[in-house]
Amino acid sequence: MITSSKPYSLNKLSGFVGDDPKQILEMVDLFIQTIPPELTLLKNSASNNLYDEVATVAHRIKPSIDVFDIRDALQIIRTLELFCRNGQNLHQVSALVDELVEKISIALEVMRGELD
Amino acid sequence: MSSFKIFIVEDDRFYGELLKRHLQLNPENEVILFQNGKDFLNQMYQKPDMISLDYRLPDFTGDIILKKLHADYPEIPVVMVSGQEDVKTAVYLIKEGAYDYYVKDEDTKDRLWHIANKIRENKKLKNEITELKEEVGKKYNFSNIIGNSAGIKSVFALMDRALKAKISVTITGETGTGKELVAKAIHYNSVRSAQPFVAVNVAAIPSELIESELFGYEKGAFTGANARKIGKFEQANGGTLFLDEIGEMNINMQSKLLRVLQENELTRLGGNETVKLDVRLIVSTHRNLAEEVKQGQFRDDLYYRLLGLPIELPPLRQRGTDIIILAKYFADEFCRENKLKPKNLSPDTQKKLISYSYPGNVRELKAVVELATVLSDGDEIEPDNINFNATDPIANFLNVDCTLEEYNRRIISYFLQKNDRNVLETAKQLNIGKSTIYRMLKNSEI
Repeated sequence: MITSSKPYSLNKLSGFVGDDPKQILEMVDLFIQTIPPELTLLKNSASNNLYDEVATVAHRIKPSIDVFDIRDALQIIRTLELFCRNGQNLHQVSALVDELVEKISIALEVMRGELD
Repeated sequence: MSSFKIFIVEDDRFYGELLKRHLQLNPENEVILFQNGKDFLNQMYQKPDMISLDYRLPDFTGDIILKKLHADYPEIPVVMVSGQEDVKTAVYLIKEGAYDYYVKDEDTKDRLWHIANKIRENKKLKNEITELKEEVGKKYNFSNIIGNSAGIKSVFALMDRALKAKISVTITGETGTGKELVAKAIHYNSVRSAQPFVAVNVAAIPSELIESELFGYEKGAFTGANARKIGKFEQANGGTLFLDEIGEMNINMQSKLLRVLQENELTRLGGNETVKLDVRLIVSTHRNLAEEVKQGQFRDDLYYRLLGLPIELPPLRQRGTDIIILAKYFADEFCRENKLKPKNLSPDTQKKLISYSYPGNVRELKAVVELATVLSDGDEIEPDNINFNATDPIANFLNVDCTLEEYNRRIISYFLQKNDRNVLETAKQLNIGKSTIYRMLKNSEI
């Protein structure tokens, strides 16, 4: 649930680490550092039709995406993992990856702006 | 504050850090994060108190690591984590030995928090149980059975033999001689000491309930049996069952007990399942069981089955100066427990203590000494602080093995006290010369 106009929410994050702003900032910073390489891996795997790898990466980052409630991203990543895991609708995978990367990149941009 | 070490194995660095920081909100938790199975397994020598293990790792799947952990560290609870709800996987992992299973979703933080709390509480309870078992073991050390008399030394020798083999032990002795203490000392100094010691006072259980109490019952075995109940034999499995006052068991129940002892197995009331038993049996009685057998009150086959190693505890009145050693011990213990200054037994007090026959044996001596400690004002317990409770003092002192001269002294002392130390009245009553009494008083014989 997005509670503001921002494309993400920090409510779940503060539920995990408490209301300490320092902890929240450190975790946002860690997310900004760890997610881009995963997105790159996701894109490369999709481009090379490595669907098992796509499923593995999607499975791995899904809980982190959920923590930030990034708008629509969770539903996309769930679909992506399901398609790749079951070998269904594989022709849609690249488009879904692009859409996911775009949603997350927008969120990351806003996060970076707030951190600065 | 004792630390509670948690290993989190999670391949997503961000999510692992998130769980780590969440658990560290409790300062008791020391959390270490691993991103792959290999690094984690290399650190298992640290023996964490709990492991949160992601089902899918880059180098292993969770079930392979779980099997390894279950084989090498079965005592460490492993909580499996998965990215998706999958009941089949959860059931499979729990069957494979996982402590619990949770899914990465909105409830993750609460679920993990509760699981960690539960495991930490269990650890605390286990530690407490271990400490208490050690305490109990110390309490029932042979050195805590006090005395130097020949009678008690021969008891020690027999107890020592009882430790060396799984042989039934029959402890006889008057009430208050310490039969249960001896049974516990045998158990807590034997190889079974880490297993349960279960005591049952046969005399205190109505005869119609004793079977279900000893053997347990299944749900629906009889009206009111709303759930399965494990009996005392099963509770003591691996350890020792102490049947106090076995002589009070009725003949019908004796045959059922004999059958269980012969077969080393039992069937709960209303059940079909056979339960194998490995129980060391210690029984006690204040009765003469051989005499009960002669009179047909006790089955001879059960008698011989139970007899094993017989240990007879001497009555306190036959333990000579053990009375003083025990009295001093009880006084010291009582003062320590109640944070009082230690108190000595005056010579006259010792004389008074030793002259009594103690029909209630050590239990009575303990009560007498504790009361005397409360009543005494100074550093010494005086004779006036000693109050015996025997209702028939003549019968009481006739129980004591002593010389005629000692009997005379006691009789004169008793009547002198009864007559408010009136020598003339006492001499008249006993038909003896008053000079005899004066002489004894002068010589402090009475």
